[in-house]
Amino acid sequence: MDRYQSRRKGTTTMKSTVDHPTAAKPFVANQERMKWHDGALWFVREKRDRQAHSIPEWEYLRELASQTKAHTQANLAEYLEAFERQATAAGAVVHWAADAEEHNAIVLGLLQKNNVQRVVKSKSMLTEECHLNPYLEAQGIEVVDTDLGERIIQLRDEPPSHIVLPAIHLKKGDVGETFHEHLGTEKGASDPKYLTEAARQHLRDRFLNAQAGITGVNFAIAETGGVTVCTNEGNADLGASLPPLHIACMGIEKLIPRQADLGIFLRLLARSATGQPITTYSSHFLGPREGGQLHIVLVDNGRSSIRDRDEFREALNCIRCGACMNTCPVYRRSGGHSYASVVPGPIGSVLSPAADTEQHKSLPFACSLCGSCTDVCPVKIPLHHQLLAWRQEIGREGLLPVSKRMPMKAAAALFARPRLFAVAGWFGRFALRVLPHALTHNRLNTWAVARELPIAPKKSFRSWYRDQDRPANSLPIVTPDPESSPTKNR
Amino acid sequence: MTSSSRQSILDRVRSRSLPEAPLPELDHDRLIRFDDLADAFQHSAESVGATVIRCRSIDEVPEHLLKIDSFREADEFASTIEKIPGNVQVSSRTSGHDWASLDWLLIQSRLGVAENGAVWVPTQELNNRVQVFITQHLGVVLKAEDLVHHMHGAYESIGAIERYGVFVSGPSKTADIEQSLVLGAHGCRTLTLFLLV
Repeated sequence: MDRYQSRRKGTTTMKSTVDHPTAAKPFVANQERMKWHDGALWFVREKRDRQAHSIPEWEYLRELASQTKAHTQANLAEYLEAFERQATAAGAVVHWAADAEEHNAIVLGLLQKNNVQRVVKSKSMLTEECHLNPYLEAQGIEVVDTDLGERIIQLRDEPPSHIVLPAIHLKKGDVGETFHEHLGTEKGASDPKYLTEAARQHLRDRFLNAQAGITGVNFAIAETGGVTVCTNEGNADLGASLPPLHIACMGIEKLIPRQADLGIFLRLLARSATGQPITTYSSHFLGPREGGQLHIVLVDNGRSSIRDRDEFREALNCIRCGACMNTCPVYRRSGGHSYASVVPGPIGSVLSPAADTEQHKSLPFACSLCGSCTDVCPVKIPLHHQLLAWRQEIGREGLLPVSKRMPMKAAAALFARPRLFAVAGWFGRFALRVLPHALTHNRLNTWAVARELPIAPKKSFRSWYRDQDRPANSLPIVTPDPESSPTKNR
Repeated sequence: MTSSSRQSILDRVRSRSLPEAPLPELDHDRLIRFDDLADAFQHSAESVGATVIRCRSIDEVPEHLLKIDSFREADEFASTIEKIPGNVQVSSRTSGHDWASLDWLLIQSRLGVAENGAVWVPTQELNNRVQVFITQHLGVVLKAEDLVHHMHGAYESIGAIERYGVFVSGPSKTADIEQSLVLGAHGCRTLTLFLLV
């Protein structure tokens, strides 16, 4: 747990390898809370379904979004240049950062140049990825996260556990305690309305006193040089409208070709994220406001290397809606912190190993390959195929633990030898009948926690099949088409 | 430093060429169409927490305003609609911070979206763009003839954006505390839409 508590202490704590099942233990230990978490996210998933079904062209929109992103990826260099040209013409200043370090240095430079000590920041997964807050705080700059969920976890010194619902792991009592300690709300008060009002007053003050506002970017438009930012609270908008300096930070994959394409993506984003038809505010910035400055920082930080790889490229289509998390049976029951990465859930389990395979090698296995994430993804990322591809990659790189590597080898040998397989089957049926329970169910075998072995059948499937009455005409044999096999990458 | 990163990012992206994928063109025949735009808009707007008041003309708006508690209690009322003037001196307010005490704001929108209840507010409809977020309560006057079916229609109607514009759909809200929906996060606590039909 200690790595979560040191969110402010910077990037060095993010290096150790984290095993997902181990990291999930504290969360899973609290059955009641786990069930609540599971139910709360399933509720969001159901709201998403209702919104998706309310427009008949939903599948068509997903197709359009996926094609638009593929087109943008194929022409990324040209679109980046066009965006820079148009944004500059509109009066913004465009900066380029190869990695997180450079991004942070650019932001710090801008703040120092403008003598800024107090910053308000709206939600941006990119600045989380770059660990911007601890970096700026180390330089004596106060950074206030203004999204309510983000502010809650900032006061608690925790990382977000979800990309859209950062404080979904907390109950209102936890928030009440945090606000009592930091904002002076009444002890024991946990009414969400009361707590939200307290946060509103507290943050209003921060907005009015801020000297700069940092926001993320949901979509950047190559055709116009504009950026679009979506929030429900209005926090990005206040932060970008009150102080004279607005810094918008974005990954290079946020680009879309035309303003009209926003029609596709804004219809998909909020419906997929929270089951709303659109976010309350969708702000379109084109250049700075009068008398102000707008700086846009374009960040690569590993994105171009994901783009290089055919099997993982589509992960860059992600619009950060979080639908894959809400539907994931593993995420819902293990909590976002168990992933120990900025983006948790299925998409995080694809992106994180791309950044550091050794460190995040357990994540592609935190998945039952049920495919629900792929079904709900608004931009059609084949998430479960990518998770399977990562498992193969991790195996190839020799990063599998012995406990997985040896059984895989043994299974491969067994499946390749039908006679041996028949003998093993006989032995297995025998063992299931005679082995004492304590031999399989002890602390050495984590598989047996909450699982029982099956009751042994009397005979093997093969001998059962031999004994059946055959139809007069044998059934046609259907062999799967290898091209459409679900385990094959697209 | 930045300029060298610019070149290295562009070079890196260019070094890996991908199969050409055409930019799709929208087939309008496949998009949703509502039988009654005003009904659809009202339904969407109410579902996201807005109040919709139908009026026959703008002259009816003041009497409806007076029925709203928060409006009667408002100390500061600003309006960008000539026919319904506010009670604050706009010319004395030069910075966004001057609007911090604003209680009620009434503005005009020339575009509403039936599928999601959003209204388009470009910077030209405001004295200062911060007004729309900083006010405690927001009222928007919109003609039913300015409604479109969906977001694709909205962007066709918007055309080129001048500096800034925002879609507003319902009042400011959050569900960050245990998924309980609370209206009035940082922006307006209520949104009242006066739909001129």
